[in-house]
This record gives sequence, C-alpha cells and structure tokens, in this order.
Amino acid sequence: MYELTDHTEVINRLLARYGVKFGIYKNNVFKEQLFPFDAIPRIIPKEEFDCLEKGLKQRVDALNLFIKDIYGEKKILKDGIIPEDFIYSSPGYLAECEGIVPPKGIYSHISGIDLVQGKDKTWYILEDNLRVPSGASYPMIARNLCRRAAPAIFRQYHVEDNRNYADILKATMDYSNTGGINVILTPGRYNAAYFEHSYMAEKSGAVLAMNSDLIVKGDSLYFKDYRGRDQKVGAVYRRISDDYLDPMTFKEESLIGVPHLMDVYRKGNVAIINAPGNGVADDKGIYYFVPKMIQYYLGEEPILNNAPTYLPFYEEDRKYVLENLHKLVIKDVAEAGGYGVVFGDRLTKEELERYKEIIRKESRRFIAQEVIDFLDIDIEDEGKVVPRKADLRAFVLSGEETVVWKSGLTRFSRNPDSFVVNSSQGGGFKDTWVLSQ
Amino acid sequence: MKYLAFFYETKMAYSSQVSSHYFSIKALPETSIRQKVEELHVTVSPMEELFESRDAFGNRILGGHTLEPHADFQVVVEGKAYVNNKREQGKAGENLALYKRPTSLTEMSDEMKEYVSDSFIPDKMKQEIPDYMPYNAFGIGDYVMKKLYQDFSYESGVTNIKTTAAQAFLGHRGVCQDYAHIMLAFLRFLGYSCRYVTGFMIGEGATHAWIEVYNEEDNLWYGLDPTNNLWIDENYIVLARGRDYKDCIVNKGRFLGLTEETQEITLKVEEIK
Repeated sequence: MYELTDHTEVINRLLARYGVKFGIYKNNVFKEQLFPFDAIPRIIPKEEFDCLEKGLKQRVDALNLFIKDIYGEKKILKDGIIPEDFIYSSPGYLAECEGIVPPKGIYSHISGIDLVQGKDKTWYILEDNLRVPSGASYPMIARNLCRRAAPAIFRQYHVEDNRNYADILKATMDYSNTGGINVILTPGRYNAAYFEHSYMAEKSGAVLAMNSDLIVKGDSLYFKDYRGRDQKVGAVYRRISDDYLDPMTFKEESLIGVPHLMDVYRKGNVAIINAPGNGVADDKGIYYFVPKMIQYYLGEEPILNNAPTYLPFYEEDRKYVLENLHKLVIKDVAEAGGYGVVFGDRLTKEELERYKEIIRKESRRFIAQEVIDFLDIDIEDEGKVVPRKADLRAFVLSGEETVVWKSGLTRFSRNPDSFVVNSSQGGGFKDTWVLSQ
Repeated sequence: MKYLAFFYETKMAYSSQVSSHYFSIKALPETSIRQKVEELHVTVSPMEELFESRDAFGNRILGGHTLEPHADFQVVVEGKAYVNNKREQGKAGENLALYKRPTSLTEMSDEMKEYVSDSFIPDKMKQEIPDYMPYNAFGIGDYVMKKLYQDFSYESGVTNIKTTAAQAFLGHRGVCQDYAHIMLAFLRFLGYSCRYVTGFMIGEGATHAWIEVYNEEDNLWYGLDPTNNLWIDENYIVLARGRDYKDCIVNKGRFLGLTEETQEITLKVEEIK
C-alpha cells in the first residue's frame, strides 16, 4: 500500500478543495488550517480489531450505564466505588440534567475513544470523548479519494469498507428519534469541525441547521423549512457544547444555542445527541475509574486497559507521583485538546519542584500516567518513510445495538520528538484500514 | 393558617425596541404541604408562545417567546393561598450532596472562613444555643442566622444580582439575596445541606429570598429568613428553590436589541380575613 504515496499530493489538493480543514484558536486569533493527510494507512489485522471491538463495546456500554446512574439513582456513589467529590467537582457534571432520562436511555450515542498501541502491541485507552467527538469524516472522505486514485490497491487488500459511517450514524439518530426529522445543529462555518457538520448532514440525510432555524413551540422543537413551515424535530445531533446549548438553562449570553431546548428535552420530546451532562464521564479524573465501572455495572473484567494511571487524590498514589514525577506524564483534568499535558522528563529541576507543589496543593486537579512506549507507525516525510508517534480515535455508536465503526481516525505527530498527536497541536491524519480477513 | 392574596407585577421598558425575546418565568407558586394555591392567574404580554415546564430542581417554569419587536414587557401573577407553618419533607432521590457544595455565588473566601472559625465554634454554640432549641441543623441554622442578622446591615444599591457571597461579606451589607448567599456558604462550610428559596412575603414590595436547611433527624427542611431574623411561617409563599440565586431567577429573558432596560416591580401580599 506504500504506492498510495504517489497520490498524496493530489489527494491533499482534493481535500483542500472539499474544505477539509480544522480551525484552532491560538492567542485569541482563529486560524484555519488544512489537516494534512498521509497516504500510508494504519493497518489493523482482523483478529486484533475483533478484540478492540469487544473491549470498546464493553467500555462504552459501561460508560452509558454510569451516566444514567449519575443523573439518576447514584448507586455507584452510594456504594463508595467513586468518591462523590469527583463527580460534583467535575466541570462536566451538570446539575441541570438531574432526573432527565433521555429517549431510549442512551446518553453517549457517539463515543470517540482514543487509544495508543505500545511496542508490545498492547492497546491502551488514553481518553474517552463522550461530548461531541469529531473526526470521523476525515478517514471517510480520505478513503473515498484513495479508492478513486488507486482502485487496484483495494482489490489487492481485503479492507473493511468505512464509507458506511453515515448509515450507522443515521440508524443511531433514528433509534433515539422521538418522532420528527433528524437535525445536525452547527454553530456555523467558523467552527473547527464545520466541514464535518456539513459532510455528515449530506451523507446521513439529516438537515444541517443553525440555531435560528429552530424554535420551541409548546412542548416540541421545530425546524423552519424553506417555505417557512414548521417541521417537528425528533433528534438533534448538536455540534455545540453543553454550555452554549440553551441560553435559558446554561450560559445566558450564548448566541448559538436554542432557547428552551432543554425544556423539550426534559419532557422527552426530542433526543439530544450526545446527551448534555456527559462530560461527567469523560473527565480525566473519572477516566481512572472506568475499569471499576466495567466491573461494577457489567460484572466483567475490562478487556481493554487504561494506561497505568495514578490519582494524586489518593495518598498512596500521590506519594508515588511525587517521587517519580520526572518520568511520568501529568495531565490537568480541566484542559482538553492536548493542552495541559506535561512530560516530567522535559521539566527542569525548578519546574519539577513547582509542579510537585501544585500537585500537593490541588491533588484533585491532576492525573499522572506512565509514559507508554508507543509503537511508531510509518509516515511519509518529504519523500522518505519515517516512523512517528500516532494514536487512534475509534468511533463507537450506541443505538439499538452498540456498534464499533470498522475504521477510525489515526492522528500522528509530525515532530519526531513529540508525543502529542492532537489535531489542535498541528499534526496530520491517516486512514485506518481494518482488514476483513 | 393564613389566607393570603398576592399580586405580583414586573414591567420591563426598553429604550428601543427588542425582538426575538425568549423568557422563562419562575414565579408560579405551587400547592404543597405548606401552601394551597388557588385562583392562580398569569398574564404575559406581549406574548406569542407560552408553555409550562419544570427544571432539575422541580420548579415550575412558564416559558415562551415574543419574536416581534416590542418596547414593553409585562408579567402579572396573581392568586390566593392558604399558608401554614408546616415544613417541607425531604423527598426520596433528592440530591442532598449537591446542596452541601459551594456554588460560584456561595464560595467561601479566606475572610469568611476566618469569620466562621471565630464565630461558630461547636463548644461555644452548644453552650449558647438555648435549651428550647435542638443542637442540630435547625438549631445551628438559627444560631448562624442570628449572628448574621446582628453583624450585617440591610442596604440596597451596594450589591447587585451578580454579587457573590464573598463580595457582599467584605462590606457586611446587602439585600436579601446577599444574606441568603452568605448564610448558605456558612452552613455548607459547616457541612449542612441547604438551599436558596425565593418567594413572596407579607408586607414586602418585591420578591424575597431566604434559605432552607435540611435536618437529617426528622427529614425536614427548615426555612430561615436571615434578612429579617425570622423562621419561615405562614407569612411566606414559596416560588422556587435551588442551589443559589441563579437556579431561581424569577424572570429570565434573552432578546436581541441594543437597549437600556428599566424594570418596575410591584408586589402586594395581604391577608384575607
């Protein structure tokens, strides 16, 4: 498949033409940049993916049960599995969602689970993204272009087709839909993932809407169509964050939200995909407890492992972290997108001491992890094939059944010394091939 | 028991027209163990859409919108209520842990912590709480209320709706909202579940705010009004409850338009004999 690199240039040019970009805010300036595509795919053999699939389904099922429990009975807190403080001090926990049972009881419809593979081929979960994980559109369109550029390769390799993502997405929306149309709610073209919003709407048959197209009347949500008629909405795949979703319930100053959406949602008359309040489960501090959730809710042993993680909140862990800070990764639980991640071995003596001081003072704010010896994968850099760090975002969709998309977004770091592969930090992406035999 | 008639009106005037006006009104008193509401009548004008819903704290909401341009907005809530001295019971599934935590408006400052450790020493409180009062959430709540009433003075205009407990504490003055926030901060710091309450009070010209503290022993919420140093009784009608002011905003609105907004509130609560 290395011959695909012959087409790198032309595929990237086409991606630019389609507007496959992402935007980042740096120093308060919005900068849109292309998301460079590397043509050498990441290949995952069938047996390996079968195992990932089982583990991911298990993890997402447990996470869904956890969120349901937190906004409902709170058994896991009463049973002392997770300290209450970790829930109520999490910025992702929203008291405004207490007591809401979403349609079909599903909270995380689309989960983006980030994994890395160690040198010993073991996969580790790095992060769960249960709010509005983006990125599925990139491998979708890249695969499409690659098939057009080099159809012969796809006859030679038995690769699972990944162009069905939109069908799975549609089925997921349809399942939770309370009666009415499916809508993808976008904040507009200045959003980092706007390409994805429009592409997913086109491919899944959902209506792409801005907040001004939607209105709450009585107990329902309506979309104003091209003739000004009201069409009932049964599911909103919203691509805006909880804070901005409904100015009457959350941030009053939000200009991109839909006023009173939460009222309709609480009445059970619309599905919000993903459910507001999910942030409580993808908090970096809660991550530590996911293996315990799997045992607690499913009575099973976790199939996939977390990266070895320490919680300075617990005295024993804090002692270990303070003694071994120089070889650990420190993550600020409040930050996202690759920010607030510090590698102990890159810190000067003074900086290490300063971090120890902060960890002692604000132990709840950080987690620390062992640095995983990544399995490098090949990328093409100025005509040469070189090894680089990469992660994998797997997409798990929860509708009638929990489905793992047989592909995923592989992101790599262009810088040979960097471990951070987040797209906000200027990396590139690859297609992910799951072999069918 | 008292039979009260209430008339509440809020009038907004905008210096230039506003449009796309969405509102959520939490000013609908509900029948409960302590109050029986009758002949409730609500008018909102101008109004194009009106519906009822509830929030996460169980409060009744009147929501709706007025999209067309308008320069005035008026809400009238009137009705009658039989009110008694009973206390609300704790409900199954009520999130007591949540009411124990500080919110952004009720965060404790260093000065407040100092005040609490100086003023609310358990041994001293045990001695000073009178014999007819129990040494529990209610007794301590009453003690804290009395201390607050003594050390703070009521003054309008020095604080606003965004003032935090810590900010109001610095000046030792404020209005009912500030008294309630400071008291919530103290009681939560002392380990009690307590909540913010808005409502009508006989003789008051605007909506009032007070607190309720939960007493585990008898599963009851005890209402205390730190602004007036009073226990909540048949002179109070409850409108809404929550963690702090933000959960209980009487008239929350959002509209488009660059305008100066003036608000005029009228409240009349009288006993029917």
